[in-house]
Amino acid sequence: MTHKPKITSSQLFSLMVLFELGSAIVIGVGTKAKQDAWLAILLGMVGGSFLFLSYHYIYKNYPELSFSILLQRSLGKIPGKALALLYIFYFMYIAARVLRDFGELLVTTALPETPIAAANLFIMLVVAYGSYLGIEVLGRSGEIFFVVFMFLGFLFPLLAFAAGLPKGENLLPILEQGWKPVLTTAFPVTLTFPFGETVVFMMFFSNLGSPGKVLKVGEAAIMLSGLILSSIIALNISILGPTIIENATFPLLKSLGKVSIGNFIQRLDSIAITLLIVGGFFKIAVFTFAAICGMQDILNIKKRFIIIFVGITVFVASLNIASNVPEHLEIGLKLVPIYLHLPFQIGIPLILCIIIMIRNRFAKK
Amino acid sequence: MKKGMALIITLIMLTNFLTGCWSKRELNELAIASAIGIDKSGDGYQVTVEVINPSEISAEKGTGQRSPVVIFSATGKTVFEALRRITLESPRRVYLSHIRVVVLGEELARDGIAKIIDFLSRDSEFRIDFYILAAKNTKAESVLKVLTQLEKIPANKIAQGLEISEKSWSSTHAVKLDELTNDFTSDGKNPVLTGITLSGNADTGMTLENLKSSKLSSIQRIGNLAVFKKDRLVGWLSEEESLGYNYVMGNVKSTITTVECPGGGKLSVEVLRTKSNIKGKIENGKPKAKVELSMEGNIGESECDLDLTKPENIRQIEDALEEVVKEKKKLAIGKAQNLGSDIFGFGETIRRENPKAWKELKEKWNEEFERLSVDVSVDAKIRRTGTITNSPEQTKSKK
Repeated sequence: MTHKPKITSSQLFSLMVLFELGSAIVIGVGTKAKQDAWLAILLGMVGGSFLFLSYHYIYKNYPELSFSILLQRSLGKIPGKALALLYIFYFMYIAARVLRDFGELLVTTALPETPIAAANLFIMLVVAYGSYLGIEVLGRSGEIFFVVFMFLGFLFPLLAFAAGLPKGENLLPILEQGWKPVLTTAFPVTLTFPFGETVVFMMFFSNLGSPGKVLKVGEAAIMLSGLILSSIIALNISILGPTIIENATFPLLKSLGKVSIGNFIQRLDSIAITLLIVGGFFKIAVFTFAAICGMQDILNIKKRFIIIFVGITVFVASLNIASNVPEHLEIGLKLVPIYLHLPFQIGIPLILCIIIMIRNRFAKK
Repeated sequence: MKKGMALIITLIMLTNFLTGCWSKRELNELAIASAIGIDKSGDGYQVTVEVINPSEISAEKGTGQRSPVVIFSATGKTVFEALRRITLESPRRVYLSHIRVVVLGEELARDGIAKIIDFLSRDSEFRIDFYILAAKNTKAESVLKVLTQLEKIPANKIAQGLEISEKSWSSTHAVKLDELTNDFTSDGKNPVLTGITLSGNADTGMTLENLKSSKLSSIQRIGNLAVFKKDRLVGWLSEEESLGYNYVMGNVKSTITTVECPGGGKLSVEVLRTKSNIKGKIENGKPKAKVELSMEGNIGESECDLDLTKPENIRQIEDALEEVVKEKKKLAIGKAQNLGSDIFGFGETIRRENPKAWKELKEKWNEEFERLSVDVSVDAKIRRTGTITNSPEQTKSKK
């Protein structure tokens, strides 16, 4: 490798925040906990920030290496490669899932007669192009879109309050059914989506120009996105009530649709769609690019072939992972968190931490 | 050379994307609907759509010869089916995003509106910013087809009429889809909808001839509140009771309330601000509710013998006002208890303040509500007397 592409800490921060908010801000997470969804998200965030400590611990011991090489270095060549391959498939599968979410929501709400393949194809083309240009370009565009995203995201509460929509009593009573529904929503659902998904950034920590800052940047990104998510969902619930939010496929769109100030500032659904497209792009791009980088690390193939392969696979998979929306959501809420997120976000990193710890102790002796 | 070819091919391919949207619908292919009316028809529904006739409402080209709106109507097993069947009558596809009002026929409302709420929330073409009304003693179709003055589009007349009456008379309550959904899914609150009636004949009202006279022979009139139990209409409030309902809920923005003066005669107060505070609690195992209202107003008209320059007399009027408003609120609460429908959300208040007790109350809330003791209190303040103090009549008789 001639030179390693570098990104600045503000670029990593922007990427991580966009990634976390990406689809979560529009889809609405944790709504199974009814009016306590905001609490479930905060709990998930706390859990996520602890998880991030373990990711950071692993990275700290091999600061020069990307995750896929790190696995080989710490576990041995063959098992490391196998595990890295599993992670690559995991990233690709999640990329396909996010792409499907993205397409479904766009088709349901904005483009009812467009085939979902068309919506998915165009975003995938942009993602493939972004991956071809590499992490530096993704980072820079992340920085720019961070500003756009935050501006639009901030408009929502501003306009909602200006229109006098939020009703505090919709958030009461807190903990109506006790802690149980909140805890079962937080663990595993909101912990793994979106917070635990930061595991994918293990692929890019070694690209950070100032290596000492990974922990600070990561935790700050998790905190900020957790607080934003939590307050947005609380705002949604206070505007429309927990019943409607739990039932809505696209809560932010519904509450934005209600904004009308003096019959003049209204019909703001486009803000929600813009947020979805920007956030969705970065989420899909990060996952796809991580898979591409991983493959590049363990297979000796030209980058552009890998991009074509991964791009087509993710695109085709996004269309075929489920035959309808209910099936897609069922898999996403019931199976994926337990069978995929838990091992890949929590299980394997923790085992890796333990292995590294033991090895370090022996090395000292 | 090779590069040039590649560039040309790319450019040609890119032109494919410049043709516009996939499922584009040009404005002149759309029938923009301003209102929907839904009535019961046998086992299914009759759906009436009021479509705007764009050439008639444009300021320059309107001929005044044709109706500003066109009414299409079709029946079907479901609302969606009926709505799409309208394409048999309409040359354009009905576009629903700009709906201002949805009117539900009384017969349908008595039968239950839950199934309609599903369609209104599921279809992505609907925004949730339209008002929902219940037609009283008439079909939704008749309400929509009567043409109106001042506002050319009947749907706009209804929507604005509703807004303005809510703001300055306060016997109505403009309900949107989210409020209706929340209320009918809640265990502790039942929905209300504002009613709409028709005075005069719908068939003469739908002709342009009707618009040519200064006093319209038929006109839509925004009415009183319809009380629902879950999703079924169970009764209507009178105007007095509707006002009482809005006083309890703190919805009154402005209204005129007339009181009997202590010394005889009448006096009207223009209510300008109200704030209501509903509390629910459990006392000795029994639910209790408390409604506290504070209000402010000015004297707007006086036929009294009282000397309005004296503060103690103003205090007397305040007391009388408090009594009148209290009475209205009790009327509304009594009517709701008779109908067995908690439209005030007392149950919801108890749920918020005492979720544990609510778990047990929830199942039998309707019966509990019927014998719920509600404590009503009003605190009225009169601030100003207008541009004169005593009425000219009174000043004259004193001389």
